Amino acid sequence: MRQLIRIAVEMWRAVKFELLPTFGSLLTIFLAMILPGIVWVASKNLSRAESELRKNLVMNVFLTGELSSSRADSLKNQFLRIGGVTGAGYVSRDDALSRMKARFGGEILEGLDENPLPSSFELRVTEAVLEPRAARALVTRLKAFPEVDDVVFAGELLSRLGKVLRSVKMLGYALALLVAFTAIFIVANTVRVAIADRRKTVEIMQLVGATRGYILTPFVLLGGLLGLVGAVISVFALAEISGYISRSFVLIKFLMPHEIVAFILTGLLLGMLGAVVARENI
Amino acid sequence: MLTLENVSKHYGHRQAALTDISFSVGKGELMFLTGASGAGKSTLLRLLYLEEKPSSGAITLGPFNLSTITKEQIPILRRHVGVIFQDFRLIPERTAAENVALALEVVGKGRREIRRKTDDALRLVGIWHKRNNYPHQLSGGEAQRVAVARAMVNDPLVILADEPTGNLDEQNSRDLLALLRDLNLSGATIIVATHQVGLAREFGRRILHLLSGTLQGESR
Repeated sequence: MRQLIRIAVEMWRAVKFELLPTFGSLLTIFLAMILPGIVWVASKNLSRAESELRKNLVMNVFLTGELSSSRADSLKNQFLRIGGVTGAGYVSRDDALSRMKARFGGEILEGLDENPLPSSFELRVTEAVLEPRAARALVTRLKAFPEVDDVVFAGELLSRLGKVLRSVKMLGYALALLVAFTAIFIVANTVRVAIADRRKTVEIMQLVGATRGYILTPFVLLGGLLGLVGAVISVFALAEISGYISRSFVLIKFLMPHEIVAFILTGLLLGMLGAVVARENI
Repeated sequence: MLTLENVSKHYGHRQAALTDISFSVGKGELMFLTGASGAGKSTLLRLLYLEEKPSSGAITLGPFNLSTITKEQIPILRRHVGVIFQDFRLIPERTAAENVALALEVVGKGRREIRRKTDDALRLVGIWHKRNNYPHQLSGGEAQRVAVARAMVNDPLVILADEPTGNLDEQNSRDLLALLRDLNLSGATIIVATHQVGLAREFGRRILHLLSGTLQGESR
């Protein structure tokens, strides 16, 4: 306990004449950490969207007209024999209408004399069909059936989403690396200034027999504290940004508690590392 | 207790700060080291608290062999050496008592022991009433007394004083040297480096004379 108080006092002494530069460092760390934070939240949400889409990978095959039950069964079996198709379900015009009413409410179709929706098949397909060439081949094959009017597949969108996701992740890694170096550099400089400011004190401590660890500990913890506080402020700012996007545009998921802890611990470690880099001054 | 054998210190090839210095200091001795500015007094003391290492020769201080000591052992040695400087070297943001306590804190003493020993040391040097003052609130003589208290609070093997009276007026200089003599009378081993030979002679103790880094002899 006595040691902790001693370290806290030394930390305060190290920054009390350097409050403005310390605040500046904190602000820079916060700004540096918020960027990968945003990328993290974005990539997390894109991943979630992609996995949702993958789970419900469906190809909509719209038909020219309503089929009898036996014809629907026969067509279903033909579809199932095609490579890449793992499941097929017939959606009659009435089913389609019920679904639309359930989803958007009955008012949307008010004023129409008859049901405008076509009957269709919903085909579940393998992930291999995500490959654009495979998707195009399947669509062509399906369109060859005389009963088929049109085929709509979100696979291309998913494929594009996958590419975006990979790019976002790469950007995230690059930013994280950049931020790691930036944070270490900023903290190292702040601690260097703090050590230089207290050069006389450090020399006197060495003179009376203080070990390097004794002298360095407050500075390393100061670095850790800068990183930690910078990360905490970033988390609050990220939560605010996520909340705003959720309220105004689209519902997005924020970081889980263990991810927040990991984010803050990363700030702490980067800060401590920065101080360790500055230690050659002692 | 302290022995130097053929100790030399060179900076580069040409500049010899100390050449072939040999002498011993017994336990409980008060010794003066005199010489003009640049004679090598401060360099010699720096070798004793390992601010620098000798270029050649052997130094032993109590159980420590200063020629072979490792970097990690230097803090341990310094806990057994009290040093007093001309410019006091007190930490400005610590009070007089906190400056003295620092020497005990770094060796890991308990809070009560630190308090007791700090108070004892400050009483001994006659500055206890100013224990809560910061260095800038102390006169030169008072600040140097705090430095003396810090140097002796750990019962070191030796106290090294490098021109301790350099920033003091004549009366304060005499008072400070008298204080060091009193400490010596109570058992402390002390080496005082000073260019004031006359002042040193008043104490009737051993005086080593340095000239251009060489030992010229000794007197009383």
